[in-house]
Amino acid sequence: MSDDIRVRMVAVLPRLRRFAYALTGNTEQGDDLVQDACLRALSRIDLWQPGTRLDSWMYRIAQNIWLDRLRANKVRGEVVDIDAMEGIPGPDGRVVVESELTLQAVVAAMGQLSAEQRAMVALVCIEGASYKEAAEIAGVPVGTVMSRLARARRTLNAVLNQPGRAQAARMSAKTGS
Amino acid sequence: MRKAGEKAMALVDGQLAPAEVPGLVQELARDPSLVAELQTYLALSRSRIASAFAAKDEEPVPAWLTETITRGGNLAERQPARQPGFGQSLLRWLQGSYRVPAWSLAAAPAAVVLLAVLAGGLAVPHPGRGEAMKTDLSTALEGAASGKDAAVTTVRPVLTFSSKSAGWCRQVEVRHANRQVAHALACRSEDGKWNVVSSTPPGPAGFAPAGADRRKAIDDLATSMMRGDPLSAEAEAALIARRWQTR
Repeated sequence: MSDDIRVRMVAVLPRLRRFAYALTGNTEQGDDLVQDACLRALSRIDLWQPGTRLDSWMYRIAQNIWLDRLRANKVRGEVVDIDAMEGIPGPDGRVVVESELTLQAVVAAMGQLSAEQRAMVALVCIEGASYKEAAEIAGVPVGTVMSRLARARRTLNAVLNQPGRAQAARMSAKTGS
Repeated sequence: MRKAGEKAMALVDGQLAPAEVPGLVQELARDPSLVAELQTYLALSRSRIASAFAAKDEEPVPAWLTETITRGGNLAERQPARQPGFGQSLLRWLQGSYRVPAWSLAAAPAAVVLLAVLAGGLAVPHPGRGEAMKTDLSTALEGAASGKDAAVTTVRPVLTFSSKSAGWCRQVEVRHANRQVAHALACRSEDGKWNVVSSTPPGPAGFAPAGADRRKAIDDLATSMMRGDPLSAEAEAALIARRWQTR
């Protein structure tokens, strides 16, 4: 394995760490995820195709490990369906988030998303992936990326506009439930 | 309607094809609810969400995480995938060797068995005699230096490391009188007891493909649990002198 690959992987670390934090909502769990992703990437470096994006490949590895872990441990938080939530302003009177978004509030609200929706928000909104890139990383069609992302944002908007729910989400995120 | 909403989102994200923009504008002009939805996406634009996470960018990457890559070793060459069925054979071996009740193993993960060291000592099997040869693994783990045989040349710690979640851990070789060698990984609990996290069946010593695979399964597990590098001889000696207290 060339040192050049290692150097490039180290260069990806800050973004991979941010991505893992967005997925897990927790620095320690995020760093553990990054380490596991790096170890898996190192052990399977022969599967990476030179000329393709190393960061996308590592995002995919991290996301797969995280999803596998969620499925295995059944630690996925309660998923709140936007249609089932009470008191959401209708389309005509929709209240939108206007104040500055804080990290704590966004992370807590992301805890209300499904795992797949959270991964889409992390990839597209935080890591700046295009819809096409996100589709390749997640292994789903672009249309699925768009529907997950739109649904995720509507849920985020609903949660962030309801102080009580945001507080509950923060408590949920803190307790890891 | 839904498609129009997703197009509105794509517009905000800069992902809408230019050819589709005029059509979307026309729809926005005649559908107030679509405008409201567009406002939602504007409020949760990529730049706004990303800016919330900007604080994370200022945090330095922990050195142990960087070292996972820089000193992670050529794992592709050194540590192949664990053998299929390894966990089950380990369970059988542990159950047969240590007379562990089946119920206690049934509750354990297949590949990683947490087995409390009984009464401070671990019974190491002696296949030739059919009875367990008692070896004080706990004593060896507590006080022996890596690379040196401990006690009656039956337990040799190979390396010591800090694990991500289980405190101090040591990889050991357990050498039997008939020259068979088993490999094990044990971690020290807060109350000072050493727990065998995983171990292999005993096999021929020296280089042998099957034996090498067994050793690599433990290598692989140790690497996955490791936080940073294994301790140097000096750091390990200091840690033993401190009776495994970090500071």
